[in-house]
Amino acid sequence: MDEDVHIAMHREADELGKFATQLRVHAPKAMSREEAAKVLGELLTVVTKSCMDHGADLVGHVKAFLKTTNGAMSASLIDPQKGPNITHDFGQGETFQDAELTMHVIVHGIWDPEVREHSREAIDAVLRKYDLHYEVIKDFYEKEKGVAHHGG
Amino acid sequence: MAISRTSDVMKIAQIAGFLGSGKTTLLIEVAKELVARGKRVAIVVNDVGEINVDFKIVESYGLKAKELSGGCICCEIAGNFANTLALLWTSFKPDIVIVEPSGVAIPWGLKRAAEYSEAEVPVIIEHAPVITLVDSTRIDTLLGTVRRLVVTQIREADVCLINKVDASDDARIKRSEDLVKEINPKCELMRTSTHDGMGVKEVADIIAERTSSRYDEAVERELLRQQYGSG
Repeated sequence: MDEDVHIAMHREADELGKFATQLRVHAPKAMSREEAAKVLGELLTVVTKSCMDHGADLVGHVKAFLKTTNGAMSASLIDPQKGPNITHDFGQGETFQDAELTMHVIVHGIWDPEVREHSREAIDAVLRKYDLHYEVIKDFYEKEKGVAHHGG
Repeated sequence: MAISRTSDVMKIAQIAGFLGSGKTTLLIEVAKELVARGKRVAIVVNDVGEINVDFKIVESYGLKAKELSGGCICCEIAGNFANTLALLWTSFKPDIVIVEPSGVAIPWGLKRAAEYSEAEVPVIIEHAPVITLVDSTRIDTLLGTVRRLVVTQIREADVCLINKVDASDDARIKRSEDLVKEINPKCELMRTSTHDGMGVKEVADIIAERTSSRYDEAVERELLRQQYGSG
């Protein structure tokens, strides 16, 4: 394989700013699936808006996955004008208090540390607004650009 | 020599496309369709970061899934991918492995990486046609900001799905189709809407019944040369 062109391809991919985090979330008061959908939708919207307000010019994707013992919910936002798409497998009337929340933010136009900063601020603001307690389990962004392994 | 369809053949089906083009939704629906037809299906989800949200979503549907994180499947972690396929073959013997690359993987590089697994287990790797999704709702935006990524994924596809036609308009759909024809005239075109299931059975047919060529370094070099003008 021609490594030079391969590196060129990956350099383009590196123009995308990426951030991912995994949180342990606790709701002092049991949450319904409708309340969870509202929180996830707002999380994606606020994170996306924050990144766009700070220089991002394209959403790659902004996704969230909420896992509880009573069901799971996934949310995705691609187009800020259209808002998030949310699916779940919670049964009618199911509630939960403890969950694991994974978020993935990929945008074009700002770099990983900025995506991380704006995403973390937005996540904190939304979870506080809904009085949800959380703890970061994992937090990832690329400190080195992906071409580093090629020696580029 | 033609490859005969025996139990020691594992077919690799790539579903490529830029972020947000509908890959995860499509692969879940196609996997469910193939399982309903009696196929043993496994899914490999690759993400550049260490936290793989798509894997968690796929797994929540009860599908047999493996995650590959921490690098690009076509190069950085090609060895891990081959190991994963070998492990899947040993433990599960899938007929079909649907692979969702990270969105930056090069399809021909992924073919090569998949074939490495033949050295680890007694299996013959066969490739389904490379499928690339094109998001017709935001084709103009994508061409303005990440054109070369989108073009590469189209150039190396056997089948391009013009996706989200339910949410798009005629002008954008036609522009998407014209773009594909211009970049890759040999590519087959289909209109799909994975959100409402349009095209799922047809994609399952393509994956189950058809094949694509094996890795050929000369072909890959030529594809990359056409796009980047070197090599």
